[in-house]
Amino acid sequence: MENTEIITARNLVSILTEGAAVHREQSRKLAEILLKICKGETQDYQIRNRQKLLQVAQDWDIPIKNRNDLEIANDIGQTALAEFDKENNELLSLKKAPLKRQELWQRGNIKLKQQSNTDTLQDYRNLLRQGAEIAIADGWGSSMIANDIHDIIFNTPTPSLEKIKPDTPEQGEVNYISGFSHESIHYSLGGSFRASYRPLNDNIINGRIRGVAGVVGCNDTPIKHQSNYVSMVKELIKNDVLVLATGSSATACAKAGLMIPEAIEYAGDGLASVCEAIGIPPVLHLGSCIDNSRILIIAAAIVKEGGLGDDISDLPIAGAAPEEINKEILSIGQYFVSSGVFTISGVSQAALGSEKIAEFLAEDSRNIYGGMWAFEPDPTKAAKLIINHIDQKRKALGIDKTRERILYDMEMRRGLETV
Amino acid sequence: MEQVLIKCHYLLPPPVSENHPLPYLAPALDAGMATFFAEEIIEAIRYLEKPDYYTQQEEPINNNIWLGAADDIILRKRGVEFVDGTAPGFAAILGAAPNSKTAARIAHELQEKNLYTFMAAAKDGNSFSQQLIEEGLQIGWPVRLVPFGSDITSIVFAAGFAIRVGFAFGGIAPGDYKKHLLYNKDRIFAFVITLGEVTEEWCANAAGAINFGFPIIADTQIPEILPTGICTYEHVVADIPHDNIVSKAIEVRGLKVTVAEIPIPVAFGPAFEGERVRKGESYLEFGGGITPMVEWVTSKRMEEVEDGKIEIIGPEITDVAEGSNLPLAIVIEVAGRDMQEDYEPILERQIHHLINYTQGVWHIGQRDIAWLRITKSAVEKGFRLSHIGTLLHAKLHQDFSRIFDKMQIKLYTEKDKVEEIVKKAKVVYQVRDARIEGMIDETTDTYYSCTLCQSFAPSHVCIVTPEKTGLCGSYNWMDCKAAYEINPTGPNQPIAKGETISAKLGQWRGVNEYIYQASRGNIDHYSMYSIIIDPWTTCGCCECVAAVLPLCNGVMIVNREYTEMTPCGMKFTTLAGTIGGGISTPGFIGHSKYNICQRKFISAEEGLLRIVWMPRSLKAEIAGRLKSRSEELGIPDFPEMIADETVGTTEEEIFPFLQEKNHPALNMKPILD
Repeated sequence: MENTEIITARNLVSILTEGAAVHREQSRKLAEILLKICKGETQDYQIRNRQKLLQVAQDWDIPIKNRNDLEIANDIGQTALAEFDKENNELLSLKKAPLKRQELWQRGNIKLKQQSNTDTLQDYRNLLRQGAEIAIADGWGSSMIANDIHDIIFNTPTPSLEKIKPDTPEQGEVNYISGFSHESIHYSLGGSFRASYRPLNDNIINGRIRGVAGVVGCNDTPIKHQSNYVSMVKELIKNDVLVLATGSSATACAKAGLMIPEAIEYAGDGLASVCEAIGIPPVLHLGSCIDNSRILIIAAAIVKEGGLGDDISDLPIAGAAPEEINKEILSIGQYFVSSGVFTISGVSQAALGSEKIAEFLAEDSRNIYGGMWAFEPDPTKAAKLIINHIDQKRKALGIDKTRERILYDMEMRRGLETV
Repeated sequence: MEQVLIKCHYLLPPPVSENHPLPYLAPALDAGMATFFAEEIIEAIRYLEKPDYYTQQEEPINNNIWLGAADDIILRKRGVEFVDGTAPGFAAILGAAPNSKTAARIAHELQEKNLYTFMAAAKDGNSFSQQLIEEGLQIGWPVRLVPFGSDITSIVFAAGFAIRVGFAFGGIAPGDYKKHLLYNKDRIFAFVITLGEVTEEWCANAAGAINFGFPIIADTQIPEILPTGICTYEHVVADIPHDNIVSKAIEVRGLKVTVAEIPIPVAFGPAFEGERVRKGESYLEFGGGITPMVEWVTSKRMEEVEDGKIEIIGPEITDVAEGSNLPLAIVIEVAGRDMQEDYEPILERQIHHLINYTQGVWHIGQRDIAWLRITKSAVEKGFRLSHIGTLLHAKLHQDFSRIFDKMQIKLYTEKDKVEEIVKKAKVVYQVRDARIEGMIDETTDTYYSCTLCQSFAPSHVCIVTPEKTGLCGSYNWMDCKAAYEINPTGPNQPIAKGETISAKLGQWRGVNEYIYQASRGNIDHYSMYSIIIDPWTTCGCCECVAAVLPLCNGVMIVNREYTEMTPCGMKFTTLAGTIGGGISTPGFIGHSKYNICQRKFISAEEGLLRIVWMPRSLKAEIAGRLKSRSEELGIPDFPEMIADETVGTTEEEIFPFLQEKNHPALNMKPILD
């Protein structure tokens, strides 16, 4: 006997699966292009980022000694294709998540391989968990592989000044700085010699930056109430929350002039001072739909840098998916949640059609993954919820109060660990 | 050089645009590094083209005040002070103060805080260094005020010094730039003070310094960078008045400097230890072969000592004319429940450097061969003999109050009294020496660790036994014992040596377990008596390095001060650089000079008699003890069998000499067996 929960859950999971499949096909396509380059079957593409090639090889345990780039790239292409047939929890990129998160996922069944018929699952909870795992396989699998191979072929995005046409022709073209990525943020924070996330973590710890929010969007989605998202982002940066935006959300922010360094005038003093020191806007353009998995890499890098807990769910960060429910957004939002991120949706809870489903996506998700969905169509209220969540995380980390400056004497220096 | 310039070129970013700039911090930091690389090339060329441009000494000579970069001897000698904390860091000063008085005040404050001051970049023909000279200050390494050069480019010597501390003491490999820079951020507490308008060139250097974690403190209005991350705290702080520029800099760097307040009318601190006092500057003089002088610490019963009492028995400074010589006995009487006779020599050994810390007072020697000069300027400022008592009482109480409760000091300046004390003290010196000589490892159950230099060499652990002093030469077993009593949680901890694993190699279970824990898991055991099998680890502070010479079937020793080539094919610098940093290297050990004549020195390889080469100067320095140890071993002329640089500096050159002398090592079993 089918009830409302089962139908709603099956419906959501089926939309999500379609979204994940879009990314999976993009990823597969990129792997095939890479193999074509290796076989000399294409002149349209080439390997443009050798550093990334070697980095991915290292991440995937592919030998590089005494081998030329094409041999290495060929292995990367083959390895990538093999990912699509793997059984549970063997995806290579899962290792990029914090250890604690990997352990948490161990109990699940994360894979890219097409799931068998989900109709047989008769419990909406199991259905939704399966959906959560399909999303993880997208964020930490398909999308991540796609980005890695994209960077090898097309180069890693680096900031550059771009122009965009606004919605109304009366306005002139608007400038924005595009192209942030884990690599370019890492570099921007310390240069070639001192690149690290330390400055970001330090300024989150000292409160200049209150937290980080990923405002995700997808390509070519018609956005209703675009100004709503802009007002949410403005509210966030005013409250010292650094915003990473993708897809149509990013487009909206760019058009609103929030993606140039001068936009620090909209930011709180703390966030503004950090952005001014580094020379970045308070809202960073992270790319398109598939690039949302770069936000996961950034979150993992913040955890790894230290001082802010040992899992993504400990960080004072949040996600926002302000668009209407659609296939890709559902997968992206869910992989945020399954990665431990509090993620706010722009749809109302009522739109889900089932209280039990809503409860699972919020409370149960939080118990299982440390991340949860929240639903709030009002942009200002949504921003407030995000800020509240960030403040709670800050409190849990014990960084909600001003800290005394530590002055080091010799005894304290002896106690320092080796670098 | 071409490679480096290509790299510099690659690192230089395009200019930052006025509108909608791209991220500029990272490119600026890169440009800063390129600046340092380029400056190093400029300075290297200067050395080649104008070899006399810098004095290349510790001090200015013949009207040339610019010293240039620290050579390796200076680096290691001064580096040790950074390691043990006598110097908590350095200030790099660019430009000149608005007037020389202000410059002197800033320099003096840095000296009082025990910091080194590295000076570069003249401004409109004036420089901080010249301002100090105008004010009559002594400058140079001995007083921690180091004039590098008048060009901005010479500030790269400060960066070079910092990087080489990482090489010498941190054991960080060349090329491992990230580790070097983080080591500097975490452990080298340096900062830059800019005085006057900050030029573009200065900005470029400032960006370089930030890579090292060294913040910039400016006296002018420049854009501030307050968010933290590359440096521990703020990166650039501007518009700081001269009165508090030093304290602000220390706070921004995150440095804690504890300075003892000593109630005497002149300045006091390690920065004044290297002050020079010429005969003409001295108001009066004690000892030095002209009058008797002696220093003696002795224990008394509690009721015999009145804490803080300072007596002058005989004439005070004010009672004698300028240019006088007086006899002097400094007798320190201590009492306390925890006081032990063994601590007397430890307290006594502090007298030399503590008196030397006093501005305008110069001291050398110890016991009954001490020598003291007090300058006219110190006397003018009101310094009296009683202040020697004041400072010794205050400092010894501060540093050693856990081992004694009360201290009184008597300064005798009457000849017969002084001679009487010399006689008494000499008896005590003999008893002490015999007791220390009599202590052996076998009958001692507790050894001590020394991790003093872990602030710079985090995985290095010294084990100090009665028959092996620490390899920096600063700490013997008794010192460590006292240091533990004084600070039970400090860097010297007692180690129950436990079950013997090898009596020959000098390995004990308790010691090995301690090493594992204290080296943070990096080393799990080492030998105390062998240079071949798992020898002890070496930090960059060792006074000497011993290396096996396989052809000669022996061991050579080279000390830090000897800069020439040695028979093992490496100079001291290379040797120390290769084996330092807390690793165990079979065939090589770092050790102290004193250790050479201790009975357990490489005893697994038959000890002292394995030594086939050492520099002439080292042999002369340890001649007395070398001779008596040789006699004890039944080969009184053994010192003459040891080759030195006049015999040769390769194994092939010295081998015939060893044969001719019938050196005992040639008849021993093969050392590498």
